[in-house]
Amino acid sequence: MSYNLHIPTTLEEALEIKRRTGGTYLAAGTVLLVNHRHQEDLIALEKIKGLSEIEDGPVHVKIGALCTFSQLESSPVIRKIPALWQASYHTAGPQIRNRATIGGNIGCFSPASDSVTSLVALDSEVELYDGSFHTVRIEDLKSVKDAIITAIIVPKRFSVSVFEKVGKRNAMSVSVINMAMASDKDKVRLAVGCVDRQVVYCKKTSEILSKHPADMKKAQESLLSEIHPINDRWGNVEYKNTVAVNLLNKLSKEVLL
Amino acid sequence: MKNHQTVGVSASRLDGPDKATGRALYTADIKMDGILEISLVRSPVAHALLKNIGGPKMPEGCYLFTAKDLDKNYIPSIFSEQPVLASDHIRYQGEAVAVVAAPTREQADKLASQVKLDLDVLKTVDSIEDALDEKFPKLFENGNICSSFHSDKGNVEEAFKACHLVLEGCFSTPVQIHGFMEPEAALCYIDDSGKLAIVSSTQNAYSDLYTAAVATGRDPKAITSRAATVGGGFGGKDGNTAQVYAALVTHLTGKPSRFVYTREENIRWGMKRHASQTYAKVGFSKDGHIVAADCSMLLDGGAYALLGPSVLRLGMEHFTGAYSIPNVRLDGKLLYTNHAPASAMRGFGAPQAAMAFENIINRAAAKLGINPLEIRRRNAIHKGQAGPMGGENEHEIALEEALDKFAESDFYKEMMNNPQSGCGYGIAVGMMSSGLGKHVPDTCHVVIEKCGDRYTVRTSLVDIGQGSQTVLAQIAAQALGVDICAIDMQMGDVKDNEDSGSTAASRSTFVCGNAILDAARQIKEGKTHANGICAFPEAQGEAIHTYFSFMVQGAKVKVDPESGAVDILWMHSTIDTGHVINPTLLRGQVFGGVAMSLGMTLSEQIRYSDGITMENSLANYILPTAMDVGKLTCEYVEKDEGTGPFGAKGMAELPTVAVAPAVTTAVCSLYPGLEINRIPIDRTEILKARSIL
Repeated sequence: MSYNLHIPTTLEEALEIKRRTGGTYLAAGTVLLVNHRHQEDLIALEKIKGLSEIEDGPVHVKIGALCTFSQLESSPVIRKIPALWQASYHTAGPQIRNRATIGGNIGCFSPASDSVTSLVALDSEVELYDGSFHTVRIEDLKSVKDAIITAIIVPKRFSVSVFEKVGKRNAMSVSVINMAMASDKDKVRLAVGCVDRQVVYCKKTSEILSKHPADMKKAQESLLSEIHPINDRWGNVEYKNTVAVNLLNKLSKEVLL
Repeated sequence: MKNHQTVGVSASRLDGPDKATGRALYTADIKMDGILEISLVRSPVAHALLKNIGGPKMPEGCYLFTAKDLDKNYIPSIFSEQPVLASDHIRYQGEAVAVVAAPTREQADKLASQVKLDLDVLKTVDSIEDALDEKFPKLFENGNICSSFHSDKGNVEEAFKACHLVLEGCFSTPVQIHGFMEPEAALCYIDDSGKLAIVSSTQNAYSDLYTAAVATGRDPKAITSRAATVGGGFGGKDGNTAQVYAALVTHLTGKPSRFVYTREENIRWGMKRHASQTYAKVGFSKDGHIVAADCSMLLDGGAYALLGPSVLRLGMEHFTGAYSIPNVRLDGKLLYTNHAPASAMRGFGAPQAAMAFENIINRAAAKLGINPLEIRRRNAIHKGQAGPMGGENEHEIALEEALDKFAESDFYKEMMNNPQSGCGYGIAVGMMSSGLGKHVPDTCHVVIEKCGDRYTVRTSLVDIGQGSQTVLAQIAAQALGVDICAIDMQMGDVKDNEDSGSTAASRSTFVCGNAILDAARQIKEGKTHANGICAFPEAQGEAIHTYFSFMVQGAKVKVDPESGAVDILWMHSTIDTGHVINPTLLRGQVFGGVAMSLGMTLSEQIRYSDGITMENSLANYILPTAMDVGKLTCEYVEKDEGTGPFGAKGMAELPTVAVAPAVTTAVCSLYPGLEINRIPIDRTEILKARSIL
C-alpha cells in the first residue's frame, strides 16, 4: 500500500495538484484509507486554513467542510438544529466522529450518509471551490469533479426538525434506512437515505405533508412511490418499505404537532 | 509459613500489565531480520477440479510452493481428510492451493494474484439441503454425510401416545465466527539448535508441531513450537490455521517466515461455528414432566470435518441433557458442503441444541400454565440420575440450586411481580460439559520447580486470553501455601513440557488445576522438581462427558416498534460451576460469553451465495458493541465438586449456551402468537406479528 501524499496549504494549491495528478482529495480518511487500494495520489486537505469553523449567521449556519462530527455534536449552534445534531451523534462511534468530517461525508456520495439526509431535509447548500466559490443545493449535487467542498450552508428557518436512523446495532452501524423531516411555518421537507442511489428528497410527499398534514395515508402512498430500496445485505425491499412508512408516521407526529 | 488465601479471591490478571502497556508480544509483533511474509493462492470458486497451476516466474528471494512440495498432504484431525494445499479437488472458495513467500506481504499478495489456476468448475453444494439432495455432487467418494449420530433410550413413539401435550418445532442457527481481536497468525524460523521453531497464535502448540511434522516430513524431535501472546481463541485456533504454511516455507527455504490472516481472510476462511437445522418433538405430562423427546440436528460442516464429528456428538448429548427424561431419541448428521470448514466454537453444538429445546420448554410452560422456572425444577437432572443416552451422572450437579437462586434474584422478582411496561422477559437453562470426551486422550502434565522461595509452574496448555494463567497460579499458590507473587507461570511451550492437549473444552481449570495439586503435593513433601499429572475421568455407560456445569439465563428486552429492532436491556445469569476460583474472571467469562451469543441471536451471520460469503469485513459482519448488550449481571451457587481443584468445575463455554432461547422467548412474550425459530432474529417476523396485534 503506497501512495504519493500531497499536503497543500491553500485551496488554489490543492486544486492545482488535483488538476495535475488526477489524485483524490483526502479529508479524515475514515472511508478512503479503509477502502484504499491503488490511488496513486492523495491530496490531504487538513492543512488548509478556514475549513473547520462553524459560523452562526442571522439566517443560516455556515459549517466548514472539515468540521468533525465530534465538533458538530458538541456545538451549541448545531444543538439548535436537532436533525443535524442527531445525525452527527448517530454517525459511527466516538473515535470515528473525532476524525470524520461533514465535507467528507458528503463527498463520499453514499446513500447511507447520515448527515446528508438531515442536510437535505434542512434545505442546505454546499459551497464548492473550483477557482471561484459557488453554491449548489445539496439534493442537486451529483458529483464535484475537481472542485473542493469548502462549506455547508444550513438555513435557520426551520422551527422543528428531527432525524431518525435504523441500523443493525446501537453504535458503529451503517444505516439500513434513515429519515429526516424539517418544518418551517408552512413547509415540510422530508428526506430518506438508503432507498436509492443517493439520499432522496421526497418532493411530492413533502408537499402532501405541508398541505394535508392530517392525510397520512396519502403521504404514505406518496412516500412509497418516491423511494426505491433494493434487496441487500441489510434488509429486503419489503422490510425497508415497512420501516420507511413506520418512520414517516413517527416523525410526522413529532414534527407536525 | 503464613497461610495465604488465594482461591476464591479476585486476583488481578497476571497478564494485565503487559497487555495494558503494549509490552505483550503477539505473533505479528515479533521482529525478525529477513523474514518472509506469506500470502496464499486461494481458490476463486467454491467447487472445482484443479487441472493445473501456472505460476509467474518468481523474482529472486520470492518463493512459490504447491502440494508437490509437501512430504504428506493432509492436516491431522479426526478424519485427516483436509489437504494442506488442494492438489486436485477444490472444495471451498478460498481454499489454499499454493503458498507464496516474499519480503513483504504486499509483494507476496501481488505474486499470488498472478498465479493462474486452470479449473473445471463444478456445481456448488451451498446448503444443508443441497448436501442431502442426490442431484448435487458428492464432495467425497462416500457422499456428503460426514458423520452421523444416533441414540435411543426408552421408546419415544409409545411414550408420546400417553402425553398430555406434545410440541414440536424446526429451528435454525447461523454460521458464526469467533470474532477474536487478534487474527490467526504464525511465524517460523530455524533456531540455534537447528530445529524448526514455530511461534503462533494457537490453542495447542503440540498439535502445530505434529501438523508441521506431517507436512514437512521432519522428525517431530526436529521441531519445536510455542504460543506467542494469544488474542483470543474460542475454538477458532484449535487446529491448524496459519502454522503449517509458515512451517513449510521455513523448512523449504531455511529462512524465517510469517503468515498473518487479514481480517477478510479471518471472516471468510477462518474456522466457523456450524450453522444448524434442528428439530425437536417433546411430550409433557399434565403437570409438566417431560416424558419423551425426539431430537434431531443437521450441521453444515463445510468442506472438511475438522472437529465437526465431536461437535455433533456434544450437541446431541446436550440437547436434552439438563433434564431427566425417560424416553429420548437423538439423531444427527454432519454434512459436507462447499463452505469454509466449520470446527470448534465456544459451546461446541450446545447453543444450537438449546435454541430448540429451551424454546419448546418455554412454550410448553405457557400452554400448561406452569411457571418457566417451576417446569424446569420438575425436570432438572440430579447427581445419580441417568443422562440422555444412559450412563449415570456421577458428579455434582446444582441445577436445582441455580434455579432456586435465580428465583430470588432481582431480575426474577421484576419479571414476576413488577414487569416494566413494554418489556419482554424470558429465561432458559444451559448446560455445558468439560473435558474432551470419551475415547479422546485427555491428560494434563505440569512441572513445578522450586528455586529458593519462588516456584515455576509449567504446562503446554495455553492462556489464550481467558485468564487461565491467573486462575492456575491461584491454585498453585493456594496448594503450596504461598503468595501468588511467588508463582511464575510458563505456558504454551512444548519445550520441557509433555503434551497436555488442547486449551479447549472448558478443561484447563479442572485438568491442569488437578495436575498442579499433584505436583504441589510432591513439592510439599520435599521435592524441588515435581511432575504433576491428571487424567480426565472417563464417562460411564453410553455417556460422552463426565462433568457438567449449568446455568439459568434471564433476558429482558424491548422492541423498537418502527424497525422491529430488539434492544437488550438486561441479561442475568446464575451459574453452577462448583467452587469459584476467581469471581472477577468468572464474571468476565460470563459477560463475554453472553455478548458472544447475543451476536448470534441478533445480528451475526455468514451467508453464502454460490459458496461465496456475503460478509467480508467487520463493517458488514455485525458484532455487538457495548451499546448492544444491556446490563449484565451474574451470580453463582457454589456446590463444590469433590474431584475438582478446590471444588471447581469448568465453565468457559457455558455462558454461550442459553442466550438465544432466553432472548427469543422474551421477544415472543410481547407478541401473542409469535414464535421465533430462527436466529439471527428476523425483524420482519416481529413487524408482521406487531401488525396483527
